[in-house]
Amino acid sequence: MNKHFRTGFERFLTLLFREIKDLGRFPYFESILFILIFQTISKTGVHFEIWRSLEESNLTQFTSINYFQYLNGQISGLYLIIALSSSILSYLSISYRRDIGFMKTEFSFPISRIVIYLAKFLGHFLILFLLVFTSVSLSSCIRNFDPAFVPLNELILYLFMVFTEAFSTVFLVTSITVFLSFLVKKPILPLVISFLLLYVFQMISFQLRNSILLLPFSLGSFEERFFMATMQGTFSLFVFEPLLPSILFSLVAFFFGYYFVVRRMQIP
Amino acid sequence: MIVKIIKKLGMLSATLSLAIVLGCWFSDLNSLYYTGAASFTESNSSFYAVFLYNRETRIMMDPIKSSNVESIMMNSEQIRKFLSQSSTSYIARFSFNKGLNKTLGSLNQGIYVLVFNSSDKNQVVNFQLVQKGVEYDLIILSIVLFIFGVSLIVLSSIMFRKLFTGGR
Repeated sequence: MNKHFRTGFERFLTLLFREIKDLGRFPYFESILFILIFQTISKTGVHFEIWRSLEESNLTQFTSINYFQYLNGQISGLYLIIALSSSILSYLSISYRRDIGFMKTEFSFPISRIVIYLAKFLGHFLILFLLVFTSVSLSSCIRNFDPAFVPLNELILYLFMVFTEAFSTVFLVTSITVFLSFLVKKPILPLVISFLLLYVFQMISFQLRNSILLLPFSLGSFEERFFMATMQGTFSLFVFEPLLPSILFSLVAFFFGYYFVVRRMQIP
Repeated sequence: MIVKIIKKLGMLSATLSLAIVLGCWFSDLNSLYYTGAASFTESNSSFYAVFLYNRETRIMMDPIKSSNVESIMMNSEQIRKFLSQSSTSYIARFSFNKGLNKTLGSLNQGIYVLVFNSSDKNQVVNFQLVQKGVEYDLIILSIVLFIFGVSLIVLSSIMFRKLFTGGR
């Protein structure tokens, strides 16, 4: 039993590394990184405060607000770039391989379909997550860098906020694009449909922002709650509430994809 | 494998440098303005904190009355020193009773505090900080990254030739 598990897990890791290697190759990885860094670094914050006196606490609070103002709205501003990048990556990973006939070979190997689906999904997710998180955190460090004053606590806390936002956004986008790429058989159609769907999703989230919190507009509410919790020093699960509907939606898309690949998909 | 990793690192740092240059260029097309008014009704001193970038900075001050006002500008290191040792050092000091327009040159990126001091309680000083021009620190950073990246790519191609073709 253990031996079977080990070999299955090893196969999964081999497939995952191959996916990461394929999606991380030149020029796709570098192009997406270039666009994301360009977009994030071109934002400059204008932050100005009136103090009653010169105090250490004022300095720390000023830095904290400065970091927050820079990071506020960064991921939601990148939403369409993330959606387009995800559509391109899922095209490269799934639709293109189906088009050239390589998917048939992949599914003829003695590997279970669950392993193939999970490896493709996770490879795609990890590459995009790495790109988004790295670009936003790197730009925030460059833009808010003060050589004489680097408060690590604030930096780590706000990077955790970026981590959570990037995780939820990339999970939503990846689950939808991967599912559509497996579902639609024509080569270029999933790319167009998934990007359009994610664009419509953004408009729906804007229209429904007062009744239900959906990504990417729920990120603003999450950031607000996170900032208040940071200032008051009281963290609770309530902070993460705005992200829950979208994570639920992503899980539904993920399991639909899983069900389709494992039970329904036919490879001619 | 090592050759591939070196080549990838080179490409990534070259990409980063180009993205930073282009991003900086786009953000530097606009000037930044910080406007405020210092009043002395509650105390003789008033403090304004601002985060400035490494760009050419100009300060303009306009007191509404002709009574004397003193102003100093400190960076975060000088604020820390003042709080720990109570020794006052500053990057600029002004004493004025009418309009003032000074170019501070290119400042280091970081937090700055403007301190105004006046014994006249009815005095109000309107001031404006303007930042324009190119951020030279980021340009230098991107040049260094680009040279580093290109060197790594060249090194990887030399290593590839030596390892796999025997130097031919």
